[in-house]
Amino acid sequence: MVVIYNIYIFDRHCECVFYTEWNRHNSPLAAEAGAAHEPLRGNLVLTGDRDSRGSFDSQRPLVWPTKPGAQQVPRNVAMEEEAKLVYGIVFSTRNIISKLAGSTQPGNGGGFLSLATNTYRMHYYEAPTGVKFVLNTDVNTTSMQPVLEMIYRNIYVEYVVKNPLFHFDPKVSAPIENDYFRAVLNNYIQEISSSSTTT
Amino acid sequence: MIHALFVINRSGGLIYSKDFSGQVAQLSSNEALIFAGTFHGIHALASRVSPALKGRAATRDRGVQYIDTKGLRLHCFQTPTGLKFIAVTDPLHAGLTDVLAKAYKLYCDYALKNPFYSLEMPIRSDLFDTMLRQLVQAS
Repeated sequence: MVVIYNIYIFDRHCECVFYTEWNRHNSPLAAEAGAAHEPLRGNLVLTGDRDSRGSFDSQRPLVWPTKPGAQQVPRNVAMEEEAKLVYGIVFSTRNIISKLAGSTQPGNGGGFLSLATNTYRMHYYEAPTGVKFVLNTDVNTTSMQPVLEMIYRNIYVEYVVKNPLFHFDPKVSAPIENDYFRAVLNNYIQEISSSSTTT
Repeated sequence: MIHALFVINRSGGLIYSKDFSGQVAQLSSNEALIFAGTFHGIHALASRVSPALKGRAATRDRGVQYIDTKGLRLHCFQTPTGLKFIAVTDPLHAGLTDVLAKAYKLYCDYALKNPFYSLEMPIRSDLFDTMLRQLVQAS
């Protein structure tokens, strides 16, 4: 049984263009969503309705960023901050690992794969184009490299890059808003989480 | 096989670094300091973004324990006083917590108990060097 918490996708400009989560208990996204339903004076810290989000089918996963241009959507500062922290972690780790491995190649030359703490494990995959995938799982999951490569090759490239409406401007980063991408990714993650053989 | 060992003090400064096998890239003293500072930062950040914690600080995330790469594995052992012992080994090397805890004991015996050693400063002790080398060879 693999517990998958969340995934971040960063583009070449260090921007988080996609984030979604599944089994998370302390999400800044959910805190924001909860704030919308409750009166402002209410306690905004995690409440009981969170536990109903345990299964995949009960609700769509929360995604972020929601709409890039929409002004009326308030910025979720906590989420933005967290995305930056995560990017900081993988970027610095990748760099010190390259140094330690004596690699002079740009990108992930040192071969940084994952980082574990006592509560979670962060898996890292960097595509040749500089797109970075960060997937958080439980501690006991040893390797998610094939999974991340699969997400890049068969989901990201197929549904995001090959979308004719995908407007690739190398100077500007745009959040991924493709519903097919979300759905396929969600199915795939669900499949992995339920299979006990993938470790 | 332990390739190298680093000791980082509470504020992220490098107080000891030793290469045992010569199989990892030799870091210049400047690069080693950058490594220590960066690792210190990663350690602090990693405990803040944990997605697995329920409620507020129910179980605390204690920061990075392993970093896995294609050719190396980094083990980190944090002492109760905030010191970090980092060992660089082959990939998929089993847990090193006991060895690093022994290294911490050596640090206590041969650095801390030395009246001429000042806290948070680089460790310069031949006896600590030899004992550490023995420990690494034995493990």
